[in-house]
Amino acid sequence: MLDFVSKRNWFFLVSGLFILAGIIALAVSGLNLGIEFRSGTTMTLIFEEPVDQAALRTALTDLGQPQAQIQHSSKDAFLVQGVAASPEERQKLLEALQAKFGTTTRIVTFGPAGNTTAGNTTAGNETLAIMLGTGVAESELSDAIAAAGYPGAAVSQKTLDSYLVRAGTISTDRKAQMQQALEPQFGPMNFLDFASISAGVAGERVRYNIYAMIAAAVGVLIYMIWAFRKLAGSFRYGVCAILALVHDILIMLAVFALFRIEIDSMFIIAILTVIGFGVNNIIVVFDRLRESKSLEGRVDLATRVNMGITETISRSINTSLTVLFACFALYAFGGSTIHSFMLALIVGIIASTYSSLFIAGQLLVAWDSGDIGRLFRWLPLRRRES
Amino acid sequence: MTRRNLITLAVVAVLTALCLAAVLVQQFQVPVLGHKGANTTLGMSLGLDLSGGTHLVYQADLTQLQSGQDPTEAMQGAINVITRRVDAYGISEAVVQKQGSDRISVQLPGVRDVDAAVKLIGSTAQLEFKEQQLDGSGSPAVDANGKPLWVPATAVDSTGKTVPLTGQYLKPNAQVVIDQTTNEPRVAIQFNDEGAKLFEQITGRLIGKPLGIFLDTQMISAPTVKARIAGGNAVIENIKLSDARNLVVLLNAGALPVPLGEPIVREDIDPTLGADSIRKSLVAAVIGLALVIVFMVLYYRVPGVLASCALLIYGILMLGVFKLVPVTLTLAGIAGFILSIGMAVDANVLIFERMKEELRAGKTLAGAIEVGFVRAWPAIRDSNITTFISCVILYVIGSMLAEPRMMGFALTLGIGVALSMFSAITITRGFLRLFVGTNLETKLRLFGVDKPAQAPVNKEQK
Repeated sequence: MLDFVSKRNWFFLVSGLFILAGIIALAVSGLNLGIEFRSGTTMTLIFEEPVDQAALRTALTDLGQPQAQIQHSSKDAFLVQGVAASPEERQKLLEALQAKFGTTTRIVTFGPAGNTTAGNTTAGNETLAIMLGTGVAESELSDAIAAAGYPGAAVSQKTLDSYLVRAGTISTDRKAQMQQALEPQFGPMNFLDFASISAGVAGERVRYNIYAMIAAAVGVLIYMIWAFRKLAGSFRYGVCAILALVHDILIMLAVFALFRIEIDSMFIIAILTVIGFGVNNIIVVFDRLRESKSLEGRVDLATRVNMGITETISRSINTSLTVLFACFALYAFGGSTIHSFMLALIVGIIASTYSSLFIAGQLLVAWDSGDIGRLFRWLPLRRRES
Repeated sequence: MTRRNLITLAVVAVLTALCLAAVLVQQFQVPVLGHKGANTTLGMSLGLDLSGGTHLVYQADLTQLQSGQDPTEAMQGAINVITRRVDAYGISEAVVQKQGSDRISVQLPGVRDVDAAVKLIGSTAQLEFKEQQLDGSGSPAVDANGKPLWVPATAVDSTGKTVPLTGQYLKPNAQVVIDQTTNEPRVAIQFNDEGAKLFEQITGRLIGKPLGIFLDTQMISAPTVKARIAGGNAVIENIKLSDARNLVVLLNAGALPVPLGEPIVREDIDPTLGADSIRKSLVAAVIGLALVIVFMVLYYRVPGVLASCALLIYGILMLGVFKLVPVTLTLAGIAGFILSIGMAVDANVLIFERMKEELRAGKTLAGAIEVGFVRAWPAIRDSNITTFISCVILYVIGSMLAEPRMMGFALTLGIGVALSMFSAITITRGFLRLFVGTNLETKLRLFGVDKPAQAPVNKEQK
């Protein structure tokens, strides 16, 4: 039997330091919240001609967005002229190219004035920017476009300036006005993506997500009190489980705060997943305590917790490893969109495996042996009061 | 016992075959949603985050309702109108749903011109016919800027009431026509019987004067009435082709019973990114599953092989249920799926660990299987029930918030938890029982036990 309990204060200290670092990071720079939890608009602008960041910032300030954050990136594209004027024709071309070059192929239209409404067919005046995955030669694309029915198309390779802009909420009308205001200065442009969330909704989402977690925690607590009702102090099992889950969430937040990784709505899903996983782990350990109930009174709780953890440690590690395998595979091969989500899951699963082995049962023992009361007496604040 | 076991396994086999058929057969029949040309992903219905498209949420201004109008009916009316509009605009597979009491969520997969769609969905589309206000001397009145003032053109309806002529008297058969001589687009509209009578009275009264046609307080055109028009046919001229097409969509779908305005949420999800992430996620999922299987087989040997089979069956059942329910697959749903795989594996691991303990304590295989399951059951039950409780809570809150990600997660995880218990308890046990009475029974090393040893510490509790 391994001893997990007597060194519990060291385990608490390790977690505490980690969480403290997270809290400091949180206090210093805050969480990097994604658009879902901040109100405002996030959009990616792409320009046909080179655009200076400072000039764009000035222009956005003039458009009433002095707070806008701008981030530059370069996009490799092929500029194509003399093809596919109407949206329907463009869609057909896009499908043909996607079939040949893969689904990451994108087509963006540049002017005149970005006006591509059906009916205003200004055939041939637009330039298409086609973005492909890496490693496609100009001639290859040329051939593909010719094969799609546009043998006369002119293709040239170019690196385009694109800017990720985070600004205040921009309406659809304002978006069109923005394009009309920017194009005379910077040349033809378009939007690669556009997301807008009003202030009320953003606040509401944060609120409801917190409610969801609290409700889930209360549900878990109530069920655990019931499931462990035959044990002395069954209330403690549920509370210690919840504390261990809070620990897992705090570690996840700490890592995301420390590394300034953006928190989007998938982070919430990751937290919920980790809660589900953590409850599972903790119950497996606590289940052994329930089983060794007959020893209650004869063997102290610390020994029973040690026994329970020793008996379940290989299962806990194996289960965590299998889930981590799946997560690492998705992290490594699953595409950039799910990177931060998988990272959150990996951090959370490691934290929850740690807490189920080194925190949850130890908290139970700490509670049982009056550590908490001792801690309070030890605190300077408390000493003055008494 | 053996016979019952065989029946159980036969039922599992039939279910698995059914689900496999559902997954595979429809792959060739159901076209993928949203974007064509991308991966079909087994014909599953994909959420916007995977298929790409635009998610819009509108907030209805229920304070603008006319007195006596039922808010629930008005919302349903608005949803119907929006559905007709997006259909007429040619966006197939759009999903229009009510959220909470006063919101409408619109999911547009693979839409091309989002800005145009946003305008189309959000405009109230109240068509009004107006005449110029006259001042005391009988000439047209103007405002401070010299613009003419317009007032609703009214006439007497069949019940004797004086009512304004609006779009509500139109038949839903407006269409764009191209004038043969001028080659200009026009919108041909037709009034219903009541509207035709109103229109006849108004045109009769306004001969030689302009009749203003307004859409949501914006004037479209103001032709001068040449003659009294009976029969209820009219054309709207002086309109751009693109505007004419949108006007037709709006007129035929009807006006919104409640104003919506700008969407409060708008998210464009890049379809190519989505398609790319499905393909990659699938590859990753297969790699992940392979790793799990290798690990289980190496660590648990024969039971590991059985658990892997159970896991594969579990995966097929899950996909089958997803498709038959059907569950819309989202990234969050995939997360729920992964977690449920973890829990399915965990249930097996728990059982095998208990079995090992029993085998080490010198039990026979048959005894170890049964006792192992009984002992592992409370932990499996409690962890699955707590997860299930969380799923129900999340689903309810997710639907209150109309947060499709949370709902998708809760739904897939909930189904996964139920199926994983079935997989661990029924399928794995069924497989294990097959070994009872074979000569494998004596080869305990195949079950990860070197030799029966003294029972561990907790032997006294047996």
